[in-house]
Amino acid sequence: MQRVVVIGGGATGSGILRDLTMRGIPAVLVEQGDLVHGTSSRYHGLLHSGGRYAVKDPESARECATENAILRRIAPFAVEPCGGIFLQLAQDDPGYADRWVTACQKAGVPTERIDIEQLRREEPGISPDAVAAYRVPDASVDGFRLIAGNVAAAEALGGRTLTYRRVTGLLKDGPRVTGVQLINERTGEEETMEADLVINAAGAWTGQIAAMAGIHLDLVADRGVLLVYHGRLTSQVINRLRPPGNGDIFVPAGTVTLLGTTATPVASPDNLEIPAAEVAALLRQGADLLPAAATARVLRAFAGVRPLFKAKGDGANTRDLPRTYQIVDHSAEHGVAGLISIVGGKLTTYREMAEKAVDVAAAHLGVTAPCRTALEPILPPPDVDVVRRVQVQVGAAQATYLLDRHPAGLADLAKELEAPLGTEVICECEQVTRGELLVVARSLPQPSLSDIRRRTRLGMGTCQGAYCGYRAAFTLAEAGLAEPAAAPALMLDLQEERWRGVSAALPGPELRGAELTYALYAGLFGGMKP
Amino acid sequence: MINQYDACLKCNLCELHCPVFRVTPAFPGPKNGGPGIERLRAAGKAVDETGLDLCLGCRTCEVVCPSGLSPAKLVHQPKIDKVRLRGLPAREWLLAHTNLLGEVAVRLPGVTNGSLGLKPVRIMMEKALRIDRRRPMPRYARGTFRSWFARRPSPWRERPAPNGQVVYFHGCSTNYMLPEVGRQTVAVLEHNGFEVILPPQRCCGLPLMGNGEIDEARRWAAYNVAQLRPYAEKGIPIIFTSTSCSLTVKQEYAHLLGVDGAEAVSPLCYDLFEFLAQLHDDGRLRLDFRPSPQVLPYHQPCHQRVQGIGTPAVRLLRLIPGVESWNMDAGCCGASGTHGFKREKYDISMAVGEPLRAALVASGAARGVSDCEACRWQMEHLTGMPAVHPITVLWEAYGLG
Ligand SMILES: Cc1cc2nc3c(=O)[nH]c(=O)nc-3n(C[C@H](O)[C@H](O)[C@H](O)COP(=O)(O)OP(=O)(O)OC[C@H]3O[C@@H](n4cnc5c(N)ncnc54)[C@H](O)[C@@H]3O)c2cc1C
Ligand code: SF4
Ligand code: SF4
Repeated sequence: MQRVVVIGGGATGSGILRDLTMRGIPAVLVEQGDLVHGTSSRYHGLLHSGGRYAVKDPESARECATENAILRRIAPFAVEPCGGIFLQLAQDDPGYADRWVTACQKAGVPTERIDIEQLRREEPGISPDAVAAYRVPDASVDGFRLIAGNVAAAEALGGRTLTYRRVTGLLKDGPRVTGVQLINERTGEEETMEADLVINAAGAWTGQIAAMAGIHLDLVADRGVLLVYHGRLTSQVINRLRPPGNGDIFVPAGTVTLLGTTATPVASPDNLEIPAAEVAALLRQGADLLPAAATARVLRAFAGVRPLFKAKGDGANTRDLPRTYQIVDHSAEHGVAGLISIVGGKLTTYREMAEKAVDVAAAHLGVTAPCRTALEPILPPPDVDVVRRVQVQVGAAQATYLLDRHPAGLADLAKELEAPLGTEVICECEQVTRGELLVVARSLPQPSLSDIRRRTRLGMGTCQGAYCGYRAAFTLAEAGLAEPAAAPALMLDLQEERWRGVSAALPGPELRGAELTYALYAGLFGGMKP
Repeated sequence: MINQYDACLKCNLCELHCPVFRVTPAFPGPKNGGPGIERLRAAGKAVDETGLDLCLGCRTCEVVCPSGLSPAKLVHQPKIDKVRLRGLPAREWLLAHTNLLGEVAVRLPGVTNGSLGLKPVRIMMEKALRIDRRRPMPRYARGTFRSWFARRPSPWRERPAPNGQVVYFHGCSTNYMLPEVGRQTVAVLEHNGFEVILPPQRCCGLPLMGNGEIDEARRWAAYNVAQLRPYAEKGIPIIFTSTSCSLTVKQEYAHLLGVDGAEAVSPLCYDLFEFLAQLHDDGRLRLDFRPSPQVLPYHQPCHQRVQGIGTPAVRLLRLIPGVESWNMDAGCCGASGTHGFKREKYDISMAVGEPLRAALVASGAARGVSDCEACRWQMEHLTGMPAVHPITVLWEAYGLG
């Protein structure tokens, strides 16, 4: 029997699963949707150097600085070490820069002043109003790859992951939590799962799980909106050197660039609305840093919800709430044994959060093995022979995409590429081949195109699934991985999901693309409700 | 700083119309090879450029793109970058320097044509230079067009020409290989009351650009602009009989090459039949044609189509009593300048030209018509039937021969 059930397939939950299994504790992770269903795929993608929090929240800054260095080492497959810049504009308070540099020094965040003309050569797009710039070790981190890596590492050690299982209640024996009540979201079946300990890593939903044990946690759901630009606007992360505000960070991520964020407290973590005013404000604020951001093509907008922890006396402005985390041992604090919750934090610090949570869990379980998650790489380096096989199939350039996307499970991929038509391109914008599509689909029970999208970037490029969507649906049906009759539904499901993001960011060139897609699906395939 | 790739809708129209994409899967096509790859490259991603050089440069993709993009230019960019880095390979150098070769060849046309016609020579050329032996080499003329022009007295020496002056940009092929096209053009223009001026000129640069040698093309372009600009500033029209030359001078000198003063020259540039059709619209074209019953299937060169001037040659040929002429609208001929000579592109070039071959054969005509010499050579090679410049037909009908 598993000794621990982890609730939540985000960064924190997957980090906990890996840590538990590395300490030899049998564990299973349950997640209501696909992996990264929650905030870990609805975030900015910034592996913080700590610079952003140095002045106001030095504790967070210090945590970020430490974890940033660790993650670069243990998760090179998920981190793009692009570096970052803090840029001061003529209209910004010049006094802030000095305070910021001192605070960074204290928090252990390395900074380096650079010549603004030098920066203009590196980043020709920056504002003519830029007056000063500092380099920091920011990086871009792919949430999906990081979490999939953690899960793969845990599974190699016997850990298990069950997706599309929603926790509907906690099993209790008196004041003690003894397991979870689940519903299988795909089949509708109810299941129960017993455990010595339940770790609640449900992110913004942590309060809902705690409430199932009758515990009230004072959490704030803070919604942030982000814009995804069609292309790469900068080669490095660009932050605005001023007290943290809205629309002041650009993060390049693979082929796209993310601009964000906003911060609006919402009543429910399921509130993912994208108010037009927030999109307009982001475009305006982003253009202060990079003028081209006002006119460059925006592919889509999306929202995520931060799980912020509100201590007594904290004010109403969510930008002022600390970004640190708390491990709540409910046996000590609320007299409910068998349940631990993790609240707050950031993706950058997920590993440390997991370590601290598992320390508490291990103490309860009487396990003394120490945490080794910072010492060992999450995944072994790829097997050179398999890499070569992939390169032979698709060529060196195309192989780089595959190696980036599938740091684990390359051998299966190589085999699928070697099959007839394996190298045929299905998604042109992001270079996804038929072999890649099929190997991913085979690894999932009843995959939706969005499940495949998260693992391959299918449908995340220029056409937003307009063409690859139907090709992928038909390919799955042809390969016997989906019922032929279900293909149209698969396709429309992806379109409706994509449409939500597209419809929020419609100005400019994207409107034309969206109209074409709409005409294609409404006219030819007779579906889609915008 | 709006990037071209931002504008692409992935509508696939360019793919639908690209003559190469239709015949070979080895070509990534204008959409993926153009804005698609540009976006990945701009993101610092590794990109696979294999097959991009199969593009014929016909620029049909540019004509059809609803987003106003030029996929052709993006497809072409890697070649330019490569040549910048490593220079032109021997074959490309040879094919791109039509003018230098021409200077030698026209002095020894017998030897040149003779040896270019020899099988062992072609086998050697194929081995050493990968110039396909099945592709007939254009024949060099006995003496250049310019030397003919210099020797003859202008009919308007004594008194001013009633319709004023025109500048003639003849291009390399007219000068070295097809001087009769030049002679006929001069005769028709003079018949219509124009004095023809022939300023010094070099190759327009298109073969260089097509092979990726942008910097040298820019030098030649600058030379030509310096020669043409004084006339343009006086409002004297500049006339072309090669559609590729006219396209290059009209558009590329300013856009791709960014030559100073090109904007002043470009508005005065006319394709010969564009010019004659305007003359006709103004009621100034002489219509003293002899009846000449014949069927004349017309092929519009891609490089004329992209100029957006309609099909003036068909309009004018139809003015000749007895002529039945129509635009076959059979797509690209497949030759595209120097590309069709290359070993690895020969089969593709022939496959692209297949609809044109079929249309020509079906017409039952004795000859075909096209304004571009490379198209005409390809038409002849595809069918074995002769192909002429439309000016030849006009010249015959005026009885100037
Ligand atoms: C707009 C925005 C931008 C951000 N940018 C950054 C950034 O650039 N860098 C950074 O480091 N951090 C950033 N953050 C913060 C960071 O994204 C989050 O702190 C982090 O992703 C939280 O991870 P998690 O695993 O704790 O939560 P989540 O990823 O939300 O995981 C919790 C999971 O629990 C699941 N769950 C919930 N209820 C149940 C249930 N009943 N049964 C089963 N499963 C359930 C959810 O589906 C979810 O997948 C950002 C946050 C937002 C909102
Ligand atoms: S220029 Fe012609 S051959 Fe080249 S991509 Fe465009 S349409 Fe195709
Ligand atoms: S025609 Fe233009 S917009 Fe359409 S796919 Fe081609 S390049 Fe893109």
